[in-house]
Amino acid sequence: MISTNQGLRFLVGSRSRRRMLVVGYGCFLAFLCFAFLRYQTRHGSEDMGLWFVFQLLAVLPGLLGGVRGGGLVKPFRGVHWVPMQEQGGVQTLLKPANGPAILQDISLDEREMHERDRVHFIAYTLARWFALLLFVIYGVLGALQVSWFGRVGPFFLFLLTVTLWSLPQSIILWTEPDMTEPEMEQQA
Amino acid sequence: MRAEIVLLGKRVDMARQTRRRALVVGIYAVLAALIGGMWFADQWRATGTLVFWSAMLACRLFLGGYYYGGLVKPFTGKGPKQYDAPPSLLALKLRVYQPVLDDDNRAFRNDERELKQRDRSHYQAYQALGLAVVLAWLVADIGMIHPQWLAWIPMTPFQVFYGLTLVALMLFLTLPQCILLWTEPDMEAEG
Repeated sequence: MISTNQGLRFLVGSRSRRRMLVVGYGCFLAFLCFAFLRYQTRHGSEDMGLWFVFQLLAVLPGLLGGVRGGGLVKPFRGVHWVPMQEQGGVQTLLKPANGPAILQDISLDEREMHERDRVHFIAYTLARWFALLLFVIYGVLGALQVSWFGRVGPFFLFLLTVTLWSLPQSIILWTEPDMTEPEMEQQA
Repeated sequence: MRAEIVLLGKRVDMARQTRRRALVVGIYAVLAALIGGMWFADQWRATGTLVFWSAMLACRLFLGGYYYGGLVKPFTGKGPKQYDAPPSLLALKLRVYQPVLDDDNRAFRNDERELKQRDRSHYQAYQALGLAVVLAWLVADIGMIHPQWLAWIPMTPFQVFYGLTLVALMLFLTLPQCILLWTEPDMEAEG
């Protein structure tokens, strides 16, 4: 489920390092959410800065992988369009990879697909509770002060979106056990 | 998955896929009509949360999954807690009381095939919801940055955003169960 062909290979083998990466990623997202809320409070929403946040949203989950190729986790849906595959080289997000290595990351085998589905069940259950919690907080804040509806609504949706797009990959990186050196060599 | 639901004491056979699909279409049609009707009632000011409670009720009575009632077995594979006290009078009148469990809770336990189906349906639902929230966020963004682009909609940008949030929440509660009900083929009669 985890690709060993990417630029951050030294992080992949050890679970503790992967967990540190997930924690760091979560801290960065928290900082980004805080910055988003602060920016929105000070400058309002009528600015192209929100488009910048949207671009970040599109790029960030790709670092962990899953939603697209080139990250630490293999792409969940496989890669169906690889224009340079026949030429023997595919550009990934973190570094150019050589042809034979990236071929192994294009699709998931049966075990990995079961693992992907199981992780999505866990992520869905967690995200469901998180969405309900946000909805309750949203209602309480709106009941206290109506103007907060418009202010915190986009922020909560942003929070939910980054969580949804990152949670399965984070769970995989968090739970996958340590890889032995032969396993890494075999995958690569 | 169960082959029948008990509705107000009457057993309804749901072994055929077409019936289950009709149920799914019916549930979403009712929820969509509810969202539309409540918009005309008060622009979701006070009635927005009713959509949420309606989706919860549909889960409890018809869909199951996250609850003990309904067609889909509980995703956790655990049965409800059994109490020595009899069910409440209201539950008995409405005939929604829980059945008596056998020793190993077979009625609530998922086998390996059902677990795989459960996981697969959640994967599919997760993909759909991931796109739905991005769409809602994008519309909210456009509404805030370029409100004139949404001027043809007879709603304020905030109302559009709130409506999309309600739809996303409704899907969050119901989508995996509906995918299971939609895709499961006809069940064969036992024996």
